[in-house]
Amino acid sequence: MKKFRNILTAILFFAFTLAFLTATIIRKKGTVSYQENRLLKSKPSVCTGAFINGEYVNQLSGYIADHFAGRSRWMNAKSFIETNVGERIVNDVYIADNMLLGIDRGEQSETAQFADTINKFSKTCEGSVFFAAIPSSSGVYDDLLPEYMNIGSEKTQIDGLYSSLDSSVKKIDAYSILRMLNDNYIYYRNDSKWTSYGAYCVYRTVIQKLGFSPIPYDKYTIEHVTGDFRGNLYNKSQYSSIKADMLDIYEYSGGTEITSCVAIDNNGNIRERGLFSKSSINTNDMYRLYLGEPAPIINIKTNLGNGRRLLVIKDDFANCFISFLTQHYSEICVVSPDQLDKNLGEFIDVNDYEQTLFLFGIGNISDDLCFEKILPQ
Amino acid sequence: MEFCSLLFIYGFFPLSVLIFMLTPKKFRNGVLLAESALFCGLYGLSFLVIIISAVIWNYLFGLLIGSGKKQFLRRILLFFGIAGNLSLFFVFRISAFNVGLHRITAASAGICFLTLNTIGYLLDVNRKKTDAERDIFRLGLYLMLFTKFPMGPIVNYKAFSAMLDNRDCNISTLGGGIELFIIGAAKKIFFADNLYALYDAVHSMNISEVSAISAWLGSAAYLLCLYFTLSGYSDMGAGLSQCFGFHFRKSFDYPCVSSGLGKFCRSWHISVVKWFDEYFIAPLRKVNASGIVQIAVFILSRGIIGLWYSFRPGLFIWGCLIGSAAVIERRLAAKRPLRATALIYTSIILLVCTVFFFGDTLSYSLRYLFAMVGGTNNIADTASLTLFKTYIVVFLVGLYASTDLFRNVLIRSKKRIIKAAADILTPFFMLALLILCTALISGSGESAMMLNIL
Repeated sequence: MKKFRNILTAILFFAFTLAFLTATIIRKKGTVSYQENRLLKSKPSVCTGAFINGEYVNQLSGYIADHFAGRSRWMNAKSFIETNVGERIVNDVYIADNMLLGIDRGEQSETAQFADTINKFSKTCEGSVFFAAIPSSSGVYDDLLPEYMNIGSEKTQIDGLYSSLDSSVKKIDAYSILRMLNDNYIYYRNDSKWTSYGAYCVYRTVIQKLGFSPIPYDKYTIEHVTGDFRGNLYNKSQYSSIKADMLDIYEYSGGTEITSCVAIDNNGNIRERGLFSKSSINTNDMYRLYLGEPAPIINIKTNLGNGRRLLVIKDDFANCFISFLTQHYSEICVVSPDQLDKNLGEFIDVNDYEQTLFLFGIGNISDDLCFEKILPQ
Repeated sequence: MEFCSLLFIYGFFPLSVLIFMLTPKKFRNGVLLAESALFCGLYGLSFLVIIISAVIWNYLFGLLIGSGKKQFLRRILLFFGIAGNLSLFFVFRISAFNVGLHRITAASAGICFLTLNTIGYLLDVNRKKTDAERDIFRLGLYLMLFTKFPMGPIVNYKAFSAMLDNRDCNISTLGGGIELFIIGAAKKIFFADNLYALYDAVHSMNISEVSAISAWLGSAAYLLCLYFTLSGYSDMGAGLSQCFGFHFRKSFDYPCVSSGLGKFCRSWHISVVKWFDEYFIAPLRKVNASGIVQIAVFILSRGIIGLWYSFRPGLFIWGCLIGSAAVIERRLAAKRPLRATALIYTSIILLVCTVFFFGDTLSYSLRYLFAMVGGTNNIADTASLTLFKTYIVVFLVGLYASTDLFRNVLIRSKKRIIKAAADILTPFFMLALLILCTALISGSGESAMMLNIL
């Protein structure tokens, strides 16, 4: 009997492993993982350097893992098993009762160089400079995390950054506002970013600092574009038992209208686009609803005749924020430094804009950003 | 290459077995040597060069010692041979900046076991327990066999050599080996990794505030995690070796829930402990047979086993404490205690000693012990409750799996039908375990060593 058992084990094992090995080798290798929203590893090159220090097997192992047959189903199974065993942390995402929280703070990034660049910018630019560092959902909801998780407080990070900014840079405290309102739907449940409502709440303070009165909440008509948004935290953890999120568009009918909205790419080509890209709802990256595909510079002109111009330098966090600002300016120039390959001065003159607003998620701020391209050469 | 990686389980392993089985018997050992060289080479070519140098070194010294006529000359050669092996060991264990290897952890575990193999071989040649090997390829296979290189069971050269010439290699042994391998992989991937998360949660708490319950949970989690890691890798090594026809005795005899420290010492990492008993204690015993010295040597040897795991003072203390406790138990064993009492005091002593195992510094270990007895004025708090809720399933199942209760149920059952059912269902259960392990490592493709040892 034992012999039979052993033979059956051997047969099952070899059939299973060789089947998956063959499937992995012959399947067409994609370059992007839709579920995880990232690039998949490419085949490691056989170069002697990697062989000598053993790096080759690392790369090969990563390559096989990324292209393993049925990878997305295996990862769903992994998420399922881990959460059913009681584990609340899957792939650096903590599963709280009603929302997902990212806990991958990594090491505390150095921000000294970043602050330095902002200070230089403020000195050379003639207009006034404003800075708003936005916490992520795990920064505002850190009381939902278990006590033993020491991931560092985003408030401390923000305070640290602000203290190294010059006094000429006007700092906006978004953290306190969001913290105070944390009973409301100000952050997505499946993403680390704020919702349009969270952005609205901070907009009220920001626009006052910029010198305008905020538009009251009841003047807006809110269009729920989709209720199925699952963002970056879902992509990492594949945990689908949390309610999906809503993406909203706030419209102020009777207010200022957008007369033109163009995106400028790194070669200077200009293409028209809308402030919102509703076709993104059918793709795997629904957040592109706000401002569409990433572009280095987006220029928005409105029919408001007050001649006020605003320069916004931002990351992904600010995408849903821009539409609130359009009610107050006749021109807004939106710059995404991570998409910019050349110096900003080649596209625009920062002194054309009497106000500059920096809007970043605190988690995205680090010295690695190579920010000098926003400084005039 | 990690054993617990998709690359190995779905790539290297099935292909190496297939190629081996398809080769005619004459060339099989050669093929195995080539596969082992490839395995070592994947850690890095520089690493492969080091290993091959070690083989050549021990081959030469083995021949010299074996053919030396004068005992004095043989002793000198033995000294240099062992010194060479030990220096390789220390270079790998203490210095982190050697030969620029990226896979330091996995490779250095292999060096630990390689050192024991090489020193054992030279000592055996000197004592005439085995003849010096004239065929360098056989010695190479002994030292480099990929199935037991990373953390495999230790076996002396005489036994291995006999197995080289004469072993059964058919699909039945293959199946048995695969079963053992999958069990080992499940131990590591499912139990060890999850229990490590529990330990890590406690470890990252502020040591001056951690509650007593959390501290005990953390220590228990570490002990189980250590057991599942070491025994998992040993099972994987033994299972893989069995696929190629080598039968090694198991390395762990369910030590975690032991009724008595003596039983623990006899059941923990058996092949390693036996090596130290044979090559370290026995010769010293011959020097001086008095009782006190014997006891001191025993305790010292346990401390050195601790140092062999990782070169930190905490581990030396761990070993010595366990050794001392075993000695004291033997002295007081006039009245055989109830099994339950023995279980309780053994577990407590083990959990206390484990604190020295994982403490990075002595002061941390002492403060941790202080917390365990409630020194932080905190017996239980919400953190410990959360930990409990999150990890209780894995912990209890792990505790159960670390004992032989399940196996005994099957074995002691006299009914043939239960045994038959077990025999039919086990292969499918193994397939289920394989699927479980694959899913759990699908994210990054592997499950690396997490413990801060080796």
